[in-house]
Amino acid sequence: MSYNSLTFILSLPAIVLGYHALPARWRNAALLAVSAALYMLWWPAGIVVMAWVTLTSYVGIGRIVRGRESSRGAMWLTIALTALPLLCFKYLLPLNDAITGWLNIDWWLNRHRWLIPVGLSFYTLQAIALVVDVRSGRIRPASSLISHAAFMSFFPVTASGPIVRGQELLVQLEERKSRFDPDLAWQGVRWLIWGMFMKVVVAESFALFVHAVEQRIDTQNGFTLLLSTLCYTIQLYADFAGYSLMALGTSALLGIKLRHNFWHPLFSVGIRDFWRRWHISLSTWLRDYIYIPLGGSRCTPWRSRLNVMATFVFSGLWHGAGMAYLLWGAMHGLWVVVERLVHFDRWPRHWMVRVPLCLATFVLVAILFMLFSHDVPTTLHIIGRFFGHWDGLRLTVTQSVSTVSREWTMVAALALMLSKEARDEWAPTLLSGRLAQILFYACVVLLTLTFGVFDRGGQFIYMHF
Amino acid sequence: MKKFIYTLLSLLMLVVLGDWAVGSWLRHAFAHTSHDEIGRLNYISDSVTADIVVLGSSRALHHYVPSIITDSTGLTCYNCGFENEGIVFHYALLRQLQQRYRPRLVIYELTYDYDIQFLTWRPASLKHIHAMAGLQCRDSILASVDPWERVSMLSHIYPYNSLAFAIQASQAPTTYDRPEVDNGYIPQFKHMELATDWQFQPQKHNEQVDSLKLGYLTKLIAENAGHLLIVVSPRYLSPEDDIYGQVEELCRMHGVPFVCMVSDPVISRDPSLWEDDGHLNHTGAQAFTRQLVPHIKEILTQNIEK
Repeated sequence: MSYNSLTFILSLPAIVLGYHALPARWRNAALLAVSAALYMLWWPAGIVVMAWVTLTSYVGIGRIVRGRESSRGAMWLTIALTALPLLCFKYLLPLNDAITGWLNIDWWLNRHRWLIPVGLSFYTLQAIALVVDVRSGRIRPASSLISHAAFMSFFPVTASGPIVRGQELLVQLEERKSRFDPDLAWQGVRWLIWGMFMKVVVAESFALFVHAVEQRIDTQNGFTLLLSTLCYTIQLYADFAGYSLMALGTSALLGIKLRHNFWHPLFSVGIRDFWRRWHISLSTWLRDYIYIPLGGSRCTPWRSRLNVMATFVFSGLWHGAGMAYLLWGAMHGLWVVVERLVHFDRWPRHWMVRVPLCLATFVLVAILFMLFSHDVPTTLHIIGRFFGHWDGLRLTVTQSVSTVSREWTMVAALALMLSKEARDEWAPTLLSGRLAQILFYACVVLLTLTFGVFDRGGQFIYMHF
Repeated sequence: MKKFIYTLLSLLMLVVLGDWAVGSWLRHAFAHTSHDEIGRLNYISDSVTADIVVLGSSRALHHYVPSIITDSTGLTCYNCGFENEGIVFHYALLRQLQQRYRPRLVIYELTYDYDIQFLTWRPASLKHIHAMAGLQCRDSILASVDPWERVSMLSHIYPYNSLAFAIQASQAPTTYDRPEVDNGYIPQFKHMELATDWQFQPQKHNEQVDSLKLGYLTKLIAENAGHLLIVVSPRYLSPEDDIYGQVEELCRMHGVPFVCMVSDPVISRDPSLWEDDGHLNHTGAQAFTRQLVPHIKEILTQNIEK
């Protein structure tokens, strides 16, 4: 069930009230039941895969805890078994296609296609992190299978993250700290409203424009294609950050505080800064479980650069099995290496430098994100059209009253989103009184009702990763 | 805890008041809009009394010339085509018209994508149905698409969702008010530009049928048999397609004439008649309407004989 669906919005108060009405000892079981039920609304059979990941990680952790001296082997075996569904569902078919295409073989697997269970990439990383953390003694394992399963299937984050750690969520579930906290709940309501605005107004209105352009790439001029590329990044950001905020908001209503997954990435200066602000739960996961175990920066400069590249290539492959994702990861890695070489972090940060660098970062990120929605040849073809078919600042998508109205909505929604983010970034105390908040969020609800796009299906882009 | 409840209640109260105020303003502004799509919808709902009405997507809007139909049949004709709209909207629009009067002939331009094919997301169908306040079967149509629509429609703003800027922009004349516009038909005057390196690829359809769309198409055919003509107008270089077999069978069952001119040997192969690969220009529309007139006359004659 999607967060922006009316079904979810109307069932959330019942879930929250029911959760808090239960005695603390029953809450994890109730949470598990609700999470499993909501997950099965996407694809009932997907629960089997989630159960596999949950059970293998739980049993594996048990073995690790019991036999510390040989726990390294148990850890790797657990990781392998836990990651098995992800490898099969996500990488088996592309790998098979590549090999059979290369060898020109036709066999039964070529004729099979399957859907990736919702959130598999997210909860697999969550399980792996827990296994490693328990083995390294950073966290105690869950006291029961129910707590462990409630952690693994925690419904606010299963579909598209954030990738929560044991220290963050399991501890709160175990210590039964998830009492109703009025301040946290009000923060949760605000996150839910703002997340919904980002998804339904910003992301969906940008999606309509991007879709209109991409339907007929070969009839668009360079300016329209460039604008569509930039718009896709805004769509992706508003979509994913909107989802993450709604996840945070839902958790907050349950009395569970999670960390932000995004911190105004559109204001990033440089790619390193971008990764400190974009999909923070993934970038910190990659740092802690790939980059640092590989040696991090505590090794020779060349080895450290190689570690960065390996980490970003892994990030690309986590997003999808294909040359485009691999290239996307590698390009990000390369750019981070270059930034380190030129000591970009030490460059002056005066606003006259910051603004153009911020814009340049956004354009670079947007061009690399083209690899998310197109294969490599199409991406190169579109980039070629930026220059080859540039005929001024003229839009080549059909312009009617309804499309122009949509474009006004895009501009107005983006302006509001950036204004709020600028306020949060540089003046967080501005208009932070309760009355101002009530007025602001009431206006946001009304704007969502007035300008939101409710009939596009409302799926979140990152659910497909 | 008390503070949280008061805060939440204040927020809810503001939202309810704001929803009522903004929604009322939008309803008033929508009803008084006389230009562009919204003005067209208001005009069709409140004022059209033509003997023959044409319904369908942009291909209806740009392909059927009412003056030619009127000259040939002696009956008044109005083109009620709507950009990006499919069968659900057109069924609702016809029901809206039929609340006032019953046209002698309804011509429905069938567009496979909008009327049969399953799309991962809907075209604009519900946007305008929400705002058709006078339509008696509005709630049941909306509920058939999504049961939660009944709840959403409790909001005063929601029926006019995403129309605010369009209402504002439609207060002044637009392309829909050009002098060449002929009883709802909007002529297009460009010619399709064919690049020398351009290898034309006809549009590919998937054969996955949308049961909701097919359901409404079936209702349209069943409820209007005897004064309905289903037409597929030409597409540029369209191959002979068997994707319309199901509709053809449906029409045969209910005795509704079905005219498929999608791969018309003259019109579909002459690039000078096309604005783009899906839409005829004015010359093309005139040629197509002239070819269609005998079919219209035939069904009118049959109706008189009956």
